[in-house]
Amino acid sequence: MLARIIASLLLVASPLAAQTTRVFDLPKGAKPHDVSPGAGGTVWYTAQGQGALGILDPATGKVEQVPLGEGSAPHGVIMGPDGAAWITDSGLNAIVRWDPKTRALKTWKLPEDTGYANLNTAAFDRDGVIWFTGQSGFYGKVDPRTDEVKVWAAPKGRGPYGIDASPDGEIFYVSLAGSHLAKIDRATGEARMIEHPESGQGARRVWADSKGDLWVSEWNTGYLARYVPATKAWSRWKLPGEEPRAYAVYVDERDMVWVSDWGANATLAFDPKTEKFVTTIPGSMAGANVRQILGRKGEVWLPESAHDRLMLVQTGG
Amino acid sequence: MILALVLAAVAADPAAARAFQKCLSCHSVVAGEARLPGPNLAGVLGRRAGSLPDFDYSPAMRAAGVVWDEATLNRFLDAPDEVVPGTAMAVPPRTSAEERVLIFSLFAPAMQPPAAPPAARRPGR
Repeated sequence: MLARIIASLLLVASPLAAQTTRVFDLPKGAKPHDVSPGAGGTVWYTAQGQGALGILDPATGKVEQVPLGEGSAPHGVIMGPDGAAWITDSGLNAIVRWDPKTRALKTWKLPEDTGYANLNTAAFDRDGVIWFTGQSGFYGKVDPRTDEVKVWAAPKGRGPYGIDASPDGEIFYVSLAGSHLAKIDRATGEARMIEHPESGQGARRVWADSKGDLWVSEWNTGYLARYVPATKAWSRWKLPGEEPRAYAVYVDERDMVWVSDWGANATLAFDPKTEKFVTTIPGSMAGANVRQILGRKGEVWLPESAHDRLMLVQTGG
Repeated sequence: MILALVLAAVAADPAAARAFQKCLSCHSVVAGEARLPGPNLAGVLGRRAGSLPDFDYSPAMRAAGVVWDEATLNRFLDAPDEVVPGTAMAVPPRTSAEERVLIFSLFAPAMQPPAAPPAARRPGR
């Protein structure tokens, strides 16, 4: 399928200078939840509504979807250090690897006694072990070298959502229902909670910048927060607008912080140097529902889950 | 009281509790438990969709005009976008019809509408 490509130029008075946005239509019903830069310049997305890994060629707009198996409903996708797509598949209750060279799929099921984990998001640590969250109240890991799968019950139960690795390969996750940040002791598997200054804020996703500071999107309160592990200090900035709802957060290669706001149907860029929101990228249509953000140099990708579209922001970086 | 009822029900029916594991990331059946990603389901039967005052529903859900009962909940969980196009709960964890029967059987008491207050006594003439 050739996707329809819509290009527009946004002239924005900001450190980001002029930015171009492009929108790529995906198969109807795909419901792209997460997105990741893929192999060979492609972009991967989880077609949560169709149980597939989507592959977009931005140069041509061509889209292919790789079925992941009966019952699949993939949530997250990232590229592993091996260049493969690693998928947290909540429908299969499994971690799935897709190799872009051989097109082979490999699946690691969670232990039966875990029950339905509602697998969410994953990140690789510095040893090549993939760690994941399960929103039903779990986190865990898969070691690709040994095929070992381990799952732990999360402190405070349900809620583990976004997860990321710091530049030194340590693993942090946030709990949406539990409203906290946690660091995983990779040796013991223990999750140590890092309490947030405001209870009930709904920490939804987390992303580390180049210094290892952690940026958190607060769903319930509409704040963007930063935790500095070196000083254990929190800072918070309220998103503009009357009723912001911060869903996704991502830090690009220039340490600009991107956050999606469902209240404003927009994605914002925040400059930590000036502590200002400097850019607003409106959704391509009303209610775009951007649930995750990821990118690579010069590109920020926004999956518009409600409209079966991916938006590319070319930052000129 | 409802929490005690829920805990007792879970202990009595582990299979149903396991089925409800697909819902509990976002929903509670314990009255008053708020700030979860999905609306509280205590008293949901008989409630108009999108009507809890303390939950930020999607515009689609607020305008749906659906009243929840077992039949409408079943249809919604089976195909949410067909029942409420544009709902934010676009791809819920897939539950089988059998799992939904288990969930309803376990949590039906908590999902019942709140009891109506006793009618005011008409003053005597």
